Amino acid sequence: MIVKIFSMKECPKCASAKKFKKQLDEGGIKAEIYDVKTVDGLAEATLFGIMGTPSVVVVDDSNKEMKTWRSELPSMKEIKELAEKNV
Amino acid sequence: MFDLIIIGAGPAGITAAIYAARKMMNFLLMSKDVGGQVGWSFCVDNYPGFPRLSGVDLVKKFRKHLKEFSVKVKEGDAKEIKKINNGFEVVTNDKSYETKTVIIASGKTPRHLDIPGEEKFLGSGVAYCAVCDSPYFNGKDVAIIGGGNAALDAVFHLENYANKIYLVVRNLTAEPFLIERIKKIGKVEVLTDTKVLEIVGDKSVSGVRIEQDGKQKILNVQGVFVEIGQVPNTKFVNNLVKLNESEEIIIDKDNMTNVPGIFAAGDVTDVKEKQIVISAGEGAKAVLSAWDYLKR
Repeated sequence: MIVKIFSMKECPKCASAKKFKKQLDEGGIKAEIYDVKTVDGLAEATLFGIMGTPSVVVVDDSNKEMKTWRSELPSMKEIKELAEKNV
Repeated sequence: MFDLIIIGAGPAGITAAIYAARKMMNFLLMSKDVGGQVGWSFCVDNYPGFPRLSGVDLVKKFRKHLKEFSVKVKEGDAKEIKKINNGFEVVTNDKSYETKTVIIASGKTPRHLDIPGEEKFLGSGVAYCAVCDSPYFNGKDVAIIGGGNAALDAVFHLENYANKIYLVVRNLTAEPFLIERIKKIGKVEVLTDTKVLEIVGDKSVSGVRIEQDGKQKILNVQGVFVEIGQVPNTKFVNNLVKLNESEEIIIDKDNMTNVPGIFAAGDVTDVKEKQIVISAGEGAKAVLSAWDYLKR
């Protein structure tokens, strides 16, 4: 399972996205952060129909979408529950 | 127990924190973010000493100033303030803090249209923050709803991305200086005396239903930016301090609320003008009043 976080350097609402990534790293959950102002970041966001920052998409090991939070961040509890289900 | 807890880190809260640090008060600055609505501004042109600075850059300067006084922002969202012996208890999601005084500088959040489709398409074409979400609308047609300074600010953010920008307004109330600037942007079409009825689409936004001169039509857009003003963040104290009819906190000339020991500053209060420079000044006044209150 991978947690994809869509963020942007200039976004005033995105400071918490960076902290969220750190929390996931510390919790041993694989996470990737994308800056949607970059070509790659925007392409990845488009792939999942993301049009708001910050957003989170959780995918399984075959990159299939499991759950999405648009223009908001989930709690660590929600991610842990999803990780347990995935196991 | 803290001497002071400052709730919110916009211009009012940050200024209060700088003054509190200079007074060597035992205080906590608590907020979800730093800069508040300032970070959403395309260009801040009326903060003395920093002409034509972007909101993001002004927030960077605020952060730097806080660091110089070793002020750390405790990430948190106040859920309730309770009266306790000799002070107050500020309750957040995961913890409570005791303090002798409080400054509420929680600012405002975007007002919603409350029309069909708005909630459904949030993050799928509906947005409230142009600085956060503009890159998603590269080459697309968008509608900006609202005619105030914030709506025109959204135009300036989006002009580098969007193919076509409809500014949908009842009245254009923005400063004349800004209206003159958008007239020079070829891709902007202003629709006045227009009401927005519904946001439509399938998985994402495909249009807005509008009414103009009694006739309805669909405007084909892939993005809708709602910029129709702000509502004060006062829900967590609406049973504690007195609010006016706009749900802003009523304060006296010393920034004191009706509850002794609770002060408020910035856009969350009933102070008439909502400006960065005014909020900063109000933050300074509030902390100096709290200081006097503690000395009594």
